[in-house]
Amino acid sequence: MMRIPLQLVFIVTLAHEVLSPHIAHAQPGAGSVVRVLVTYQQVDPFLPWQYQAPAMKSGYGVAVSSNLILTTENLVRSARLVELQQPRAGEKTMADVLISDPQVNLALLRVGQNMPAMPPTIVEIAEQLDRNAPLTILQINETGEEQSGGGRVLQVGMNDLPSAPYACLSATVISDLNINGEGAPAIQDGRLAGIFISYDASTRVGIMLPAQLLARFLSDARLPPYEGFASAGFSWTPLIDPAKRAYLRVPPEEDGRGILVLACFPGTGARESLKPNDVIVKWDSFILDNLGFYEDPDYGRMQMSYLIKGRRKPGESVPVSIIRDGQPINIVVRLSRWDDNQNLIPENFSGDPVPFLIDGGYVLMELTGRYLRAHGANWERVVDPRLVQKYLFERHQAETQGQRVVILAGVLPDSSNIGFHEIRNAIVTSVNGQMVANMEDVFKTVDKDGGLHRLTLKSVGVDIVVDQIARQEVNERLAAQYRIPFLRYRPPPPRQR
Amino acid sequence: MKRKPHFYFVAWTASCLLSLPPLSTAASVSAIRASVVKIHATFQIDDYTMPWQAERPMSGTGSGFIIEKKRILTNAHVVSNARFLQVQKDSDPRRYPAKVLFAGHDCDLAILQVDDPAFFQGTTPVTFGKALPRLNDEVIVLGYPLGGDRISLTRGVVSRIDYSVYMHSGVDQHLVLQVDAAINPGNSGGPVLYNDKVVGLAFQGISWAENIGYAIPLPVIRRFLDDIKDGEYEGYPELGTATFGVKNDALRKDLGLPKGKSGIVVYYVDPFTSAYGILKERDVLLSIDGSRIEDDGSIKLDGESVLFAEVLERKQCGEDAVFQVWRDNAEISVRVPLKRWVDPFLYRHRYDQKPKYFMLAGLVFSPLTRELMMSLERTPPNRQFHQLVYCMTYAKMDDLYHGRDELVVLVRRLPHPINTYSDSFVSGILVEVNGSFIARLEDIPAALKKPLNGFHVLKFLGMDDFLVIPAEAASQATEECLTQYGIPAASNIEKETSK
Repeated sequence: MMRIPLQLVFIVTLAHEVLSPHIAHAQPGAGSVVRVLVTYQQVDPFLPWQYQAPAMKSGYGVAVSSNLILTTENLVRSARLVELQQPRAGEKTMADVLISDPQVNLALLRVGQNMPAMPPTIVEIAEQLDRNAPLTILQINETGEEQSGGGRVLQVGMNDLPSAPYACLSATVISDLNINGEGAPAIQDGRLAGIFISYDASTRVGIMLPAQLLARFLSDARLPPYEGFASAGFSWTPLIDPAKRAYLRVPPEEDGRGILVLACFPGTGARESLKPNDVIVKWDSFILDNLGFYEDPDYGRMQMSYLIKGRRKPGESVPVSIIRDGQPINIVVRLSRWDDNQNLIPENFSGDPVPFLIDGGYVLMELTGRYLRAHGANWERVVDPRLVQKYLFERHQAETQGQRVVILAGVLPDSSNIGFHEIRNAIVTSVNGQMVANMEDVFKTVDKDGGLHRLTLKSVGVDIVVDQIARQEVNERLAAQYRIPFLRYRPPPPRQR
Repeated sequence: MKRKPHFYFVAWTASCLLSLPPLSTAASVSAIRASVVKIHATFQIDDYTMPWQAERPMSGTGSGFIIEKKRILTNAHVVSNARFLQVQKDSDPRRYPAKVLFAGHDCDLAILQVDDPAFFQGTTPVTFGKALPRLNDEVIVLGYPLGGDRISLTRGVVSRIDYSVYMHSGVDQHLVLQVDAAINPGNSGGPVLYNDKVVGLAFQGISWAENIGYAIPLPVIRRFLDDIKDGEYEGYPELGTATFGVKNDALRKDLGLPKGKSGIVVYYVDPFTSAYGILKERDVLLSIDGSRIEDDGSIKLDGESVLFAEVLERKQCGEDAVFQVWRDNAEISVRVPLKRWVDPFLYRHRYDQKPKYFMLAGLVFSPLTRELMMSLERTPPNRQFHQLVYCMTYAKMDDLYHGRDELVVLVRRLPHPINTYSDSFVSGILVEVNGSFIARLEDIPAALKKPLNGFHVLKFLGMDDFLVIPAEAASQATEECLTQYGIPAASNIEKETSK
């Protein structure tokens, strides 16, 4: 059973959206860039029944077909309204987000019906970023004029995305153009070589998603269902220390090779075939060095995660050579799409609605990284150390699929819950005497029992008890007093894949 | 709960020193001033991340006053970690060497002894008052604060009588007397007088507030003097129950507590305290020694509303407290013998105790202490630091204490080729060496005697990764680190435990 992130919006078909032949020849890529104006809104981390004030941001998109615009996922994240604006034009055109994937920070927009007369020029995607050829970067200046500048690729590799907890193929680019928005395209030899996700004006260095990643994303998007990028589902560490290698009885002929498996996540292929303390010496027939790099036929020295995310797809299985208990063995590891939502404590970086329940004024929800960070820059010192420790040390350590940390985030004061007003950020272990592993368990229990009767908190030997006679009345009063439109949000069950 | 971990660090007030106003009781004060002494201390704090050595010695001054038996009463924080102590009277240029006879770190009180009988010539022991002054009663503070060399007097009124954390230990809470008389650095240990009698001892202030000075009140001083009568300071016993008031009707119904009864319900009992095994979770404490406990934890004592803990505050180890308890739908009487409070997982400030350490191949291990945390706080915090904070707060509640005498921390890595891949473990809590559980620092040398296939394998709390040191090369690496980093010994365990 796979959880599908909410950001993925599936479309019936994109097959007819073939690249049309309107390719500009005069100025390479000229006319292909549009300004993307986004109004976005995220759920209030503390009051999960309401949204934060809508805010705006802008960046760029690039036309990849007559009505499809490629941009970054981060730009259109939590979008309420997406509008496009062409160079030298004030008119705005609405667009929909067709697909967005935070694992590669890419999104595909479909242009609305009433696009102004001049359509953007379409740019063809290069097969691959040429690391040695110069780049022409396009954007729009304050007067609405298209602007371009040069850039040079410094490095290509798997790097952590700044926008979400995933690593992805990206290029480091030095540019003399002060890139003023994400999504700005870079052209190489008349074709799209990449789009920028960040730029630091002080060092003049930006991070760009390269053409091959864009091409893969687009071809996946054109053939629904969108499959996304693969993951194996384990954590590892370099294995350099000779003492540790000797202790693990890695044979001397493997010197300089191999990484150490630390943990395998539940519900993944790694959990089925790998074990902690396995030493992976070969992945998908590529030899891994002791830092986790291999020699890629296209890129040279490359991080192993590219073998999974770049060269394979979810659902495929790969041959893996390991040293287990001093013995070399060959195994097969199944790849699947891994999502941050499968963690014990997900980040919820998108600010999506989270499941919550308010009963008797007790606000129950699942712990997320976003909730913790909402306590301020020094949240690690402000939030209860138990929750901080859980996040810093155990956030990947779900014992079963779907396990979460259920917390009593706080209590909405009312005469019925006097005596418990001060409690907040406490871990809930049981509801109505039933152990709960996530909010879904909470909903099932309270629905079966006709409401919340009692709450057991970790290390607290006295349950919080809810008066059943007045429950309904209390809930109505609380909803009215604290202006809560609905006292629970139970997301629809995850879709089967 | 009596102990609260969260409290502002209280430093000394920085307000200007008041000039001495003429006093109506000038004559009686002049008799007392001869008994108020200045204490000169040179102290040195141990370096908890390089536990074989100490930091630079520092000096400071405080105040104290002469009591019966030719003793001087002062604050424990004035004389803690002292390497050299001298006392001086107001009208006498000579300084006399002194030594600490008793120190109560939980109540910030200490007794000094001066061997030279000449010191006591012309002095009379101060007299203590019979009862605490009340709000708005005028008090004076004597002592040797900054701003000059000679004795100083400030005057004010009692602003509040309350419970507060005693910053010297960082965790203990007792009664305090809040006064608006200026109390400044150096005043510590000086007497607070009401009607020419000592009713308190000046000890702490709040740095960002105005006219808030705290004194240790008479009952705390009396208890301390009683405690040391047998020649030993045992300290306060701790009941050890975490409670909240039964204010909620649904909870009251759930506990079956009849109308007319009130109290506080126990939700956790600390395993190192007097109530452990005697009081239970879901017990409702109805009264203590015959005084009815209200649902905010207060009782009526001498006509005043005070926390029920005040009854315990006045008791010594070995005495009992008797509770009326609502348990399993019946009222019963429960006697709790109060015992000495020894709790290795209570992270009080430590004084006059050298940190234990053990060094293996450049990896320095030492128990988790509040002092260690203060040292680590100076370095940029990493996730290990936050785990240590968690352990300080929840080691007992979350059962990490089980089977352990202390938590052992890798406090420092002294770089050496043998440990060069070990940085991610620094500040981690050591839980296992060669498959053996580490319950205390002393377990490390024993576990090292049984390497696994020629390797020492070290595991840390919350970490999937582990640390490996080749056993044969380890002792030589230890020796090399001693020379390389100028360390006198690889461990002080035997020395410290045989003390």
